[in-house]
Amino acid sequence: MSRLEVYSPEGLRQDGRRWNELRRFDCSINTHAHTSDGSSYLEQGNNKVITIVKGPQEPPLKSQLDQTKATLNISLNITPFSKFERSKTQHKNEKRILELQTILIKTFKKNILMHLYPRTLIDIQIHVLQQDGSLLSCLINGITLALIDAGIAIYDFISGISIGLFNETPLLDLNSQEEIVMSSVTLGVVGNSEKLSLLFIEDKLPLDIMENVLAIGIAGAHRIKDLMDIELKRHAKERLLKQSK
Amino acid sequence: MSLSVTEKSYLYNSLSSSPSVRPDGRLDYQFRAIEITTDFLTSSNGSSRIIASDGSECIVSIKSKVIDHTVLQPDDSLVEVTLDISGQRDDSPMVESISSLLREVYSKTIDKKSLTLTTKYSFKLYIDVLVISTYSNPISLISMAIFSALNSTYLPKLVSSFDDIEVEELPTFHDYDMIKFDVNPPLIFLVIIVGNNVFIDPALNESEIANNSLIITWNDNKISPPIRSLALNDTYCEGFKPQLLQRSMELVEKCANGITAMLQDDK
Amino acid sequence: MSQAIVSNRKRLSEGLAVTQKVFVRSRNGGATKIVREHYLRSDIPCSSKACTKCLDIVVPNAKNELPNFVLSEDPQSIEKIGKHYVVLDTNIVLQAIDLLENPNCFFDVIIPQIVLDEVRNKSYPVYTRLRTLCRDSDEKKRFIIFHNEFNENTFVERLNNESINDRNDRAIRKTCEWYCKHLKKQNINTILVSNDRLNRDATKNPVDSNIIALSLLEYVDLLPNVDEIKDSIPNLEVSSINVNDKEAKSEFTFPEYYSTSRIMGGIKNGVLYQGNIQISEYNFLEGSVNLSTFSKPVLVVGQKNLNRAFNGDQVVVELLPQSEWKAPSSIVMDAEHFNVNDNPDDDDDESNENNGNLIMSDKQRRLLAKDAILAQKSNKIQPTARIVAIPRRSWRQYVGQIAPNSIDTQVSSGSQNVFVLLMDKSLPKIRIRTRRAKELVGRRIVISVDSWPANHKYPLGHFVRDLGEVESVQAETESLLLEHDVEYRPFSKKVLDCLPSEGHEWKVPSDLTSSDALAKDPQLARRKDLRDKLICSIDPPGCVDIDDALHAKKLPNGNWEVGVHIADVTHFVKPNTPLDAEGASRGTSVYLVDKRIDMLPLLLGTDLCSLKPYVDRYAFSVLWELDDNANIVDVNFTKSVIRSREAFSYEQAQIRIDDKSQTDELTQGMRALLKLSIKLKQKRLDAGALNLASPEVKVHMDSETSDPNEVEIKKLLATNSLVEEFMLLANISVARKIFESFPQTAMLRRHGVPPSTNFETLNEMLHQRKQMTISLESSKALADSLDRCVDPKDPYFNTLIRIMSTRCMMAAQYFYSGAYSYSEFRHYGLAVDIYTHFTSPIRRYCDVVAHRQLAGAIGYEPLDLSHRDKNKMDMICRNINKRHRNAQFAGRASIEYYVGQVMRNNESVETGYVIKVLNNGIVVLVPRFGVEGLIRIENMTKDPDSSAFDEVEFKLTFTDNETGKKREVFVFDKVDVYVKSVLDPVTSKRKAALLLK
Repeated sequence: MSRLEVYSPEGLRQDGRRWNELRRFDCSINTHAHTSDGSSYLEQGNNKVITIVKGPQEPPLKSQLDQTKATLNISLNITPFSKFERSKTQHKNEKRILELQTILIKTFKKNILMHLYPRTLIDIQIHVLQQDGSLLSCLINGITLALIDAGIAIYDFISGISIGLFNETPLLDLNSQEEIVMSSVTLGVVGNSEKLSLLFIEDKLPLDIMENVLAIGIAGAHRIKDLMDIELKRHAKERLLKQSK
Repeated sequence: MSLSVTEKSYLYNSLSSSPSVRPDGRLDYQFRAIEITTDFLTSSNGSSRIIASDGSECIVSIKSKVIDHTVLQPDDSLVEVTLDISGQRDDSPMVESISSLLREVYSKTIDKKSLTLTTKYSFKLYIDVLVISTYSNPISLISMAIFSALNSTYLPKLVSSFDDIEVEELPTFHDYDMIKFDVNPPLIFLVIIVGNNVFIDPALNESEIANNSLIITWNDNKISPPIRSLALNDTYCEGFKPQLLQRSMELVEKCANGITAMLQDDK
Repeated sequence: MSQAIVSNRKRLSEGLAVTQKVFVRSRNGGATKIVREHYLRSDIPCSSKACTKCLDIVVPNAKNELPNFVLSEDPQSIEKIGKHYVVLDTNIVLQAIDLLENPNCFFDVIIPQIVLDEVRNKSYPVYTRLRTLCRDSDEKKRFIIFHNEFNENTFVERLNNESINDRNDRAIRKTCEWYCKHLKKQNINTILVSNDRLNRDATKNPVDSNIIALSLLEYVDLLPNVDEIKDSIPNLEVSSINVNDKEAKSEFTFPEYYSTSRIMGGIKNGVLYQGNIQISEYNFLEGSVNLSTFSKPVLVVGQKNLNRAFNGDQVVVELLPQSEWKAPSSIVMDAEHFNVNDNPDDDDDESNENNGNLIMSDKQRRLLAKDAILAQKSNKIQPTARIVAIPRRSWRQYVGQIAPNSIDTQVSSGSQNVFVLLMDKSLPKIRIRTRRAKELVGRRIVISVDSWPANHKYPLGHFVRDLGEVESVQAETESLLLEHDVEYRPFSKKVLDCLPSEGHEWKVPSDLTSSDALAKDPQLARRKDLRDKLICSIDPPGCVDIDDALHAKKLPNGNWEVGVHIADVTHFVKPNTPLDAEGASRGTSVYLVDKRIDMLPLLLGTDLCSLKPYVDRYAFSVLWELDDNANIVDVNFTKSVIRSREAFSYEQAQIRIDDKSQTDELTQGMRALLKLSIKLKQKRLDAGALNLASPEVKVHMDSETSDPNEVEIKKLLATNSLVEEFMLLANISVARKIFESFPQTAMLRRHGVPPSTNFETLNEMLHQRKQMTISLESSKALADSLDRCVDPKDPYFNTLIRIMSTRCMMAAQYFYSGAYSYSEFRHYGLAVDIYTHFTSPIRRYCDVVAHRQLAGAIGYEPLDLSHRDKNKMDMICRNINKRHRNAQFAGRASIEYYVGQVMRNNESVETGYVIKVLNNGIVVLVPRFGVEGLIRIENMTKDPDSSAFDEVEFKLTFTDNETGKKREVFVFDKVDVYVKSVLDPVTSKRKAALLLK
């Protein structure tokens, strides 16, 4: 049992945040213009993630070709140095990585207007340079940003957020210290709606308070959506400025 | 990039003529612009990110771990290098050849003494290289990234005693003070031979018509092994005259100090 | 692990900035760089009621509550300083937590977060007390935590080359300074109290602005009630205060502890070992440490080797060279016979003759030498070790009394050093400094241990509280409760507020289906109405907290419907209430001879929950269908409403059953229960259940004077076993059900297989003296072999062996099902595969948890999160195991005290049994009083030197005083002993003194 004050009686978390506060959220898009059709770099707390979108492009393999719609491929590279302790293995084929990739593909397949890009491949590469909790939600946000940068048609933003439950108190956007001491749920929320494109729970969470937890998560996801929106608009302005010169 | 036969022929002629003309207007000893950021991975002991003007990008992390060096085999190294090139399988020829070169260069050149903590324990350094994108052979870029990362590396400060032969002690470290890792790491240069001319830091189009290329290691202010030749294409590749090796080495000697100074200056 | 801060702040939004904490975590020799985000904010209030600014910045928590402002607007005013708040340094909290808890001093105290963190890292128990103080001190004491590290105004960054301690000290000063400025208009001063001179001196530095810093002593001196609290100031390294202290000159020193790196290296490489030390109850200079690498405990012998360890401390040991290995001593030595005449100001008296490792008097030397020779002869040599570090102290508050001969009567006033002898004889005496030495003689006092510097022979402590006169019922009861860490204060208002507001008027609604009742309690619809069942309870006479009731009814198919109905405590004790927290923390009710310390408030225990006869009560029922051979055909669990028809005592129930003239349905049911219970018991015994014994006695009190006047051995009737069998059955059935529903967190109870080494000595004795042996193959084999241990001439012999076997068994323990694999769930003593406690929720917390889990399992109500979380269950189990053990010890100590009081009035000759033969004495058990005592060789013969101890035959030979002939005493011998009660001159504990007749 952790002897640390995960949530102090004064209402503060170990890193000084209150229960419903997000971590620092710094993002930028079009970071790898040379290499890709769309890209983003996201720092959410101490998570650092590069997302690169290539496509829609001709698939290198015939097997990846679908006559009616685009094929989506996501490869996740979690670097061995991304955690405090360096991990010994390259995890490319680890179950956990494959699972995350599948979750991401399923989530975004429904959000991209895939039928607009028949016979093409949309290839997304993610490099996790540093991680500090709530990785899945961070990956979702990175992909959303990179897809928008690539100009690929999507129905709406998907913003990812994690919510933990510590002794009845819901805590938003967990860091790695918090993640190991409590059960948590990751949400992918569609735009400003209350629609969930992803609900991912790995531990036990009591059903009776689920509704409350979801409401808080959705509110948090909307804030993330707004933060991404601000960056997109800033970037667009900058581009317009450059063009007009 | 695929060039037509005429384009290649044009390139070859301009590079092999005297005086030579490089397609981007550089002189034979000039490098392309690079952008380096160090220390951006806070949870690593040292890190760097280098982006070349053609969009090639490489990220290096240095992490340390305390190990008992008395159980190592004589040829076990205290430096481990791993290489991951995005889009390439780990067993592809390019990844394998670069990794083996990096292992050879860094595991031999970094002084074991600089990593020794006590009579029993040492730091082991893990140099993890991630190449996010590359258009030409990234070896030189990687070595510059490693160079900057090692130069920005800080290692935990030992506070327990150095001598632990008589009494078993586990090393303990200062809670937050770190010491700068004092090292002068090697650099690796790539030189191409076109006709009778040699050029440093070839761009992708130059590589396509190179008669041959040389990988030259610069360590401790001089050229040192390993030196290897490398075929960068299938069509133009041929043998080279020994004088050209000499010329290549002179070219490296000419620019190496400048590059070292620039990289060290970077922080 | 500590923290350091680098890198600059980055503003995120109005009132929130982020920075990074970077530090190195060394663990097991590794060094990992750790980076964590650290947010700085502007909405942390000062919590002063006088403040006008902070009300505007506060934000609500997750429950939408705004923070409470605690610090008084009119705080205590003292000389020179005026109205003031106090900021405490870490050293004050660690050293003087008792003083901080004192209701008569320290009001309006600010604990900076950094201090809280440092306290938590150094001592978790003190941290818990500090947190409790902050939580419960709203009105009277007014303690707050101020999160200086998260407040952007008080956060300080580490300077270059600044040590972490200096940085943290600066952060504390910064907090103090901020408060000073913040409340300047309100005319409230904020002062720093610190025992660290460097930290105090730094306040004189102009950079830090002038805040007032005082030492604890200086601060207390300014208080109006200085005299009454001065004695409670912790006793630290005295040299600076008292230069004339002879200790300073003493050449005596304990070996220094090893450095952390050496300890970690040693443990990793298998040169050093870590474990908990247990000081021998017979010899306070000998301890043993159980280490997983050794089959037997490793001995630690002698003062220097023990190196300041207290019983129960976590220690690191190093083995001594083989030449110093020895057998565990078979002599008795306790602190009271060792250096009784020490002068507390002068304990270097024998340091001159100290040429070996051990410091001891000649007397001990002789005894030890004798012992050593013996050890060489036998093959029982065991490795010995010495303590090189004490990572965790078990220090708490102790009860003791001042050693009268340590008082210097010449000192007329002012403070002096005196020794306090503790009630726990395995602990050393404590040196305290007090001004009330003379008035405290002959009184039980509570003291606290502060430190044990290497150059002090005895630990230093300070006086905390006076409990009353030695041997007075009140003082003795309180001291035994304190010694066993039993919470006996009345329930707080917060707890009592959780009880139903109707109080004793509370009633079960007569119509369970009425809409009124259902509106009040929607769960009512799920209760089964069992008021038509003929239910009765059977308990000890005078029982008021009736946990359980039973009924049996013949079913048309010839089977029996049997119901066990347990008080529905969890209807009243809801999770996450102060009432639940109090119950969980107490863990169990504690039964003393004359007093019961309840786990739950009286209103519940003896009224609303108690299954009293003739009234409707809520119950949790287990209903079986049993066939004629008591096999379970079906089982059901339900919350219910019952009405007990009668509350019997065991005896009344027995009479009613035996009375042939009674043929009513209730009596028929009871007869059926008895019949079935006999079958259940037989089945249990066939499966290998053990029938052990304890020398339990019962003290009769004179009903008029409440003086104990007779001791009686507890009697067992068939009806005892009737109730017991069904309770066991209910517990087993419930255990299966909750394990099925909550495979990871079910609250269960297990009893481990005793390791054969536990029985080694007993078996050797049995074999040597009686040619008998106890088999340990299985519990069945053990039970059978115990049955065979019969001495045809002495019926008590079998009981004696059972008593001694009980002491060789493992203690049963509570656990959650995720902690062990299924095969380890087994309850060895009861010979069942799974077991729990369900039947006494009024007095055991385990049962409360089991009730909630069962309610969850049958879908009555969702189970609270805390009982579905392994970590929380682990904490609950640890606590109730500890509380259960303490309650047992407290109960025994209470009996011991009263038995002592009874014997005071009737000295007699009794039959006793020798249960242990030592080198210099024997231990005798007197069944009539359930007491055992040591008879020293000096008290058996005038010529102790002629005695001889035979370890192989368990025999002590000595010269009988009367006959002048040799007399031999063997283990298991039946002997006549004079029993009288004496007041031990040193511990002031009345106990049975035995003398061989």
